[in-house]
Amino acid sequence: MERLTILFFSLILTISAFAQNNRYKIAMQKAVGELQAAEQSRDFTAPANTFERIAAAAPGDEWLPAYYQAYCHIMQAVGAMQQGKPEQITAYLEKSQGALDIAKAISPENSEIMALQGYIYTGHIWADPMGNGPMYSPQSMVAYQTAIETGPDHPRGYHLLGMHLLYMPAIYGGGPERALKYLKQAEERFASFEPVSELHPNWGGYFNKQLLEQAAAKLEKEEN
Amino acid sequence: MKPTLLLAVLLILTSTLYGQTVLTGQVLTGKTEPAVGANLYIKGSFDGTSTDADGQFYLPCLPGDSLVLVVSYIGFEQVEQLLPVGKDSLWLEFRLKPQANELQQVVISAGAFEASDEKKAVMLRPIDIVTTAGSNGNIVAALNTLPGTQSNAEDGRIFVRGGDAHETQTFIDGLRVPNPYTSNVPDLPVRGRFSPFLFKGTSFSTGGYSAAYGDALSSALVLQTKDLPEASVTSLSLMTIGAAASHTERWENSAISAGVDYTNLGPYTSLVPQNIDWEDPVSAQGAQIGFRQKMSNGAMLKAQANAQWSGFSMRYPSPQNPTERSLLSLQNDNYYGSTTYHHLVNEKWQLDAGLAGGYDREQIDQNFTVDRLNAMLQGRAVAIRYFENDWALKLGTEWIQSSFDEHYQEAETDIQSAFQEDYLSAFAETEGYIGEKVALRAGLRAERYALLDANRLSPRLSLAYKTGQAGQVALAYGHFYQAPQQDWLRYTQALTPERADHYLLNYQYRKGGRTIRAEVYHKEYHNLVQFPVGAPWLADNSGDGYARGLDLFYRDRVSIPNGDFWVSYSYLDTERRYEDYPVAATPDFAARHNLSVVYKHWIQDWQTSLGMTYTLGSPRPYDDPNTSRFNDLQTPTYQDLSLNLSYLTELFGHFTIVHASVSNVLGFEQAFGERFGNQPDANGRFTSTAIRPPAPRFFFVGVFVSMGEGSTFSN
Repeated sequence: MERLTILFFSLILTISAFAQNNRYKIAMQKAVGELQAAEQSRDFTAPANTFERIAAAAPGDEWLPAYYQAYCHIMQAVGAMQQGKPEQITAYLEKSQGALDIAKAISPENSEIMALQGYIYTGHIWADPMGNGPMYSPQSMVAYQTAIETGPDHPRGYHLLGMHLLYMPAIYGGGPERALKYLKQAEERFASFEPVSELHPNWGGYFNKQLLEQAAAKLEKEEN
Repeated sequence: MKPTLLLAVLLILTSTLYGQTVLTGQVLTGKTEPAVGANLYIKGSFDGTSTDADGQFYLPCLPGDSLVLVVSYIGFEQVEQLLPVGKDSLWLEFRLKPQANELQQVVISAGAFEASDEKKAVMLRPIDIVTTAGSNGNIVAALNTLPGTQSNAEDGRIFVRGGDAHETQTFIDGLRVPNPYTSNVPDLPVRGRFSPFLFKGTSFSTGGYSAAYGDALSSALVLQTKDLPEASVTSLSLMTIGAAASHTERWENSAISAGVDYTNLGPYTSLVPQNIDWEDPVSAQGAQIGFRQKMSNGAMLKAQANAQWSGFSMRYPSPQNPTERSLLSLQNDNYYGSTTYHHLVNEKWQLDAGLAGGYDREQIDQNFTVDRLNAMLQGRAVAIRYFENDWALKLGTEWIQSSFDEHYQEAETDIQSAFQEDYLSAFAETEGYIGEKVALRAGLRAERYALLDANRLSPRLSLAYKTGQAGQVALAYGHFYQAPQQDWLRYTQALTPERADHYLLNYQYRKGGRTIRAEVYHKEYHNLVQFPVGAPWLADNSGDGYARGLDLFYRDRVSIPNGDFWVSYSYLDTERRYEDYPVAATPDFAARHNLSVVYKHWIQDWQTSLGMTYTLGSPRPYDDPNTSRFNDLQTPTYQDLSLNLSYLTELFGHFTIVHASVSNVLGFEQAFGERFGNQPDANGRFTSTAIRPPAPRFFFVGVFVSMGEGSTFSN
C-alpha cells in the first residue's frame, strides 16, 4: 500500500513536470513564431513581452527565453536608432542587458550569448558614437572574438563582428574589406548550420546576405 | 487517504476549466499618456498580453489562491498587484512611475563638477577634458575653463573662488598628492603632473566638498584611476617637444603597464621666438609603472609609481634687482607611488584602503642656492555601509606625514630649516534620499594637526531639492581647515590651522544635452597667516578675508549638429588681509570677471575634430612698493584664443591621432604686471621687470599611434 502511494505520488510529479515542460515547449514554439512574424513587421513588442513572461516563469535551467528576450530588446533598440531616438536605445539595451545577464548565469560560456553580448555593446555606440565608441567598441570586439573562440562553427559571432566592422570607420580598424572576411566566414557557417532544436537560435542568415552585398558595394566604391 | 488525494487532483483539474477571471483595463504613464505595448502577465505563468495603442488590455486568466498580476514597461517601474479571488471580471487601471533614472534623479550638485564615463548624471566626460583646446593634455588647464576658476596663465595652477592656489588639494583614488604640479620658478607656468588618460573619473569641487576630504580651504580635485584596461595596447607618441612610449599588457584578471617619456624644449625654443632667455631649455624624463589585479573575491588591487626628473636653466631676474638677469638653474626629482584596495564585500559593505608615498627634491641655483626636500607618507581606510533604503554611511580615517627640509645659502647666509607635520583625521558621512525629491549629504570631520597641536572639528552639509523634471536647487555649507603653508611654518610653528566657511546656493537645469547652472557663494576666511612685511618669523593667525560671487555655466551638446560647447562666467568679489598685506585688499591672483568659451566640432568626412577655447580675465591688482598705497596697480585685461585639431587616421594599419594646437592665435598682448625687487636700490627705489608669458605663442604638433585590439582584426 505504502509503495503504491509512493508510486502514485511520483507518477503525479512526473506527469506534472512533463506537463510543465510541455507547456514550456508550446509557449516557446508560439513565441518563436511571434518572433518570426516580427522579423517581417519589425515590431518586436509582442515577442519581447512573450519571452519576458516565459523567462520569468521558465524552468531554471532554460537560457533560451532570456536570450530571446534580450535579442528582442536589441531589435527594439535598432528600431529606436532608425527613428533617431538615442535615449530609447539606451533604455532598451539596459533592459536587454538585464535579460542577457540572466541567460549568462544559466549558461555561462555560451557562444550564442557571447555574440549577443557583443551586439548590446555595439548598440551602445549607436546611442552616442563619440561618447560611447572608445569604451564599447573594444568591449564588443572582445565579446565577438570570445563568441567565435567558444563556438567556431556558430555563424552569429562572425556575422555580428562583420556587421560591427562594416559600420566602423577604417581608421579604427573597421571598413568593408575587414568586414567582408568575417561576413564570408559567417556565410559559410550559415549554409551548413543546424540548430540544436527548432527552438534554438537560427537567425541572421538573411541579414548576413544583405551585409555581404553592402560590403561588396562599399568596397567597389572605395576602389573606384 | 487515497480518496482525498484523488479529490484534490480532480479539484485542481476542474478549477482550471471553470471560474476564469477576465481582466481588462488600461495602463498609463503619467496622467493620461497610454503605455503602448506594456507587458501584463500572471506571475509564474507563461500567459499574458500586451497593451494596445490606447494602453488597454484584455487578459483572461485562471484563478488561484493568490494571483499576482505583473505590469512591466520599459523605462518605468515594474508593478506587481495581488488580484482578489473569486471575481469573474475585473477592471484595472495602472499609472506607472518612471524608473528612477540617473539623469532625472536629484543629485548633490552645489560646488560639484564631475566628469565620468560610468555615471550618466555628469556634466563632463573624461574625453571632454582631453579635447579642450589650449589644455595640451594638462588636466588643470582644462579645469580652468570651468566656472569658479581663474585663468592665471603666468602661474598655471588652479585658483578657486578667490582662494590661493595652495587652497586646492589634489587626491588620486582618495590619497592626497603632495606635489601635483611640475616644478618651476615664479612667473613661469606649471602643468599638472598626471596625464588625463590615467583617469576614469574627475570630480572637481569649487566649494562645500565632502567630509571625506580635508586640509584644503577652497577646493578638492578628486581623480579616480582606471580599472583594468580593455585590452593590451602599445602606444607611441612623437611630439615637437619630445617622445613617449608605453605598453599595457592585459590578462584575464590583471594588467601591467609601463611607460617612459622624454621632453626637450630645446629644438622648439630655437625655432619659435621666446620671451625667455634660455640657457638650457626645459628637459624632462619620466617613467611610470602600473599594476591592476582583480582578485578572486572581486576586489580590485591597484599599484602605481611615477618618477619624473626635470631641469632647465635660463637668465632670470635677480630677486634684489629684477632688471638684472643672471643665470638660474632648477633641477627637480619627483617620485610618487601608491597602492589601493577596493572591495565591495557584499550588498552592505564596501572597503577601501590605500597607502602612498612621495618624495620631491628641488634644487635652485642663482646667486643663492636652495636645496629643498619634501617627503610624504600616508595611509587611508574607508568603510561604507549601504542600507536598503538607498542610504549609505561612510566611515574613514587617514594619516599623512609630511616632512620638509630646506637648505638655503646666499653669500654669508646659511639657513637650514626642517620640520615634520603629522595630520590625522577621521570622518563620518551619510548620504541618501528623503523621498524622491530630496538628496542629503551630511558629514563631520575631525582633524588633528600634530605639529600645531591643534584639533579641529568641521561639519559639512549638502542638500539638493528637485523642483521639476529637469531642475533642481541645491545648497551646501561647511567648515574647512588647512595647515599654514610650509613657507611660513619653516619660520614659526606657533600657528593654528587656517579656516574657511563656505555657503553655496545652486540652481541647475538639465534637459536633453543642455545644462544651465548658476551658483552664488559666500566664503569667510578666518585665522589666515599674517606677518609684517619682510618678517615672516613674526607670523600669527590674525588675518582674515572673504570671497563671494556668482558662477554661471551653460553646456550644449545638441543645438549645433556635431558641435559641442560650454560657456563659463565667474564674477568674484574678494578681499583678504593675509601674509604681508598691510590692509585688506583684493589679492593679485583674483580677477573680478572671468569668461571661458569652449567649442568643439566634429567633421565626420574628414575624421577631424576641431576645438577652440577663448578665455578672458579682467585686470588683476598688483602692488608697487614704491607707492604708499597697497595693490594699487592693475594688470591689463587678459585674453587668449587657442585652437586645436585632431585628425584620426591610420598609420601602417594602426590607429593614429595627429594633434596640432596653437595658443593665442589672434596675437593678444598678454602681460601680467611687474615683478619688483625685494630690496630697494641705492636711490631707495624698488626696481621692476614686466611679467610676460614665456612665449607670445605656443605651437604643438604630435602624432600618437596605438597598436592593439583594433589592429588585431586587420590581418
